[in-house]
Amino acid sequence: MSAPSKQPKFDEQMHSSVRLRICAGLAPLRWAEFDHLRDSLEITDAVLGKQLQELAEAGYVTIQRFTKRGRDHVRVFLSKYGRKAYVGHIAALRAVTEDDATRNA
Amino acid sequence: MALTEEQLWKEDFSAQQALAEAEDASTAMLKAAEVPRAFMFCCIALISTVLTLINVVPWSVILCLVALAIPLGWWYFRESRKRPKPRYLMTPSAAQAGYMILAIIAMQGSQYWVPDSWVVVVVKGVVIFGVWWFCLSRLRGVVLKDRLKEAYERPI
Repeated sequence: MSAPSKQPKFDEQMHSSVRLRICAGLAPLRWAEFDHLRDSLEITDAVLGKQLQELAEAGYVTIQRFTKRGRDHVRVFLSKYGRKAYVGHIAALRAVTEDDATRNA
Repeated sequence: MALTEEQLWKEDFSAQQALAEAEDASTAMLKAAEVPRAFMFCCIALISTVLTLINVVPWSVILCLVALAIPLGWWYFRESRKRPKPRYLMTPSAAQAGYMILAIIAMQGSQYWVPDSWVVVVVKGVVIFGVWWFCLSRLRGVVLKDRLKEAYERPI
């Protein structure tokens, strides 16, 4: 992996395996439906719903609910704030692993 | 008191493991966003068949083959509607351009290879298919890596 281009900043919201995976799953996307996230991350509806709610309350993700052709859709995407936090968190994790590698060398 | 999954994660926290989990989650979503390989196979088969048969069969046959692009387009439209939408790449890598150029060179170069028997026609088709399959498979891999890199590093 190349060097991080964002200031490392450890994020407490993402210090949870599920929330980190949700943000990581959404990071390369414009948006995903709730079902896509659940199937790709292999977690239950309840867990995903709860964690998404927490992320939404913290302003990290935006959840859109709408009906199209009689079907309910729940569309999720990372907000600008969430994306910045995710990139900073990844940079912080990389910094930690690089420090570990330097210490072990 | 039993620890929850989240507490266990915090207890045994490893930055390397967290990075690996993030990469796995991003890769899984990107793969879910891609159209299936069967679609790529059909596209390449159609392109290589058309490129092989130009100047071998009448143009009406070529036009009929090209018309197969319509159901393929419909298939792509239906598949992409069911999938997550990836972000646009801001900085495509040189490797992407390289594989695209290689595929175009193969397409242009095939025009100079005029088959004189049906055996050579088949060989030409297989060669064009092989080159395009190689280029597009590598291109998919490179695009996936570039998208992952941008997901890690692009804060806007």
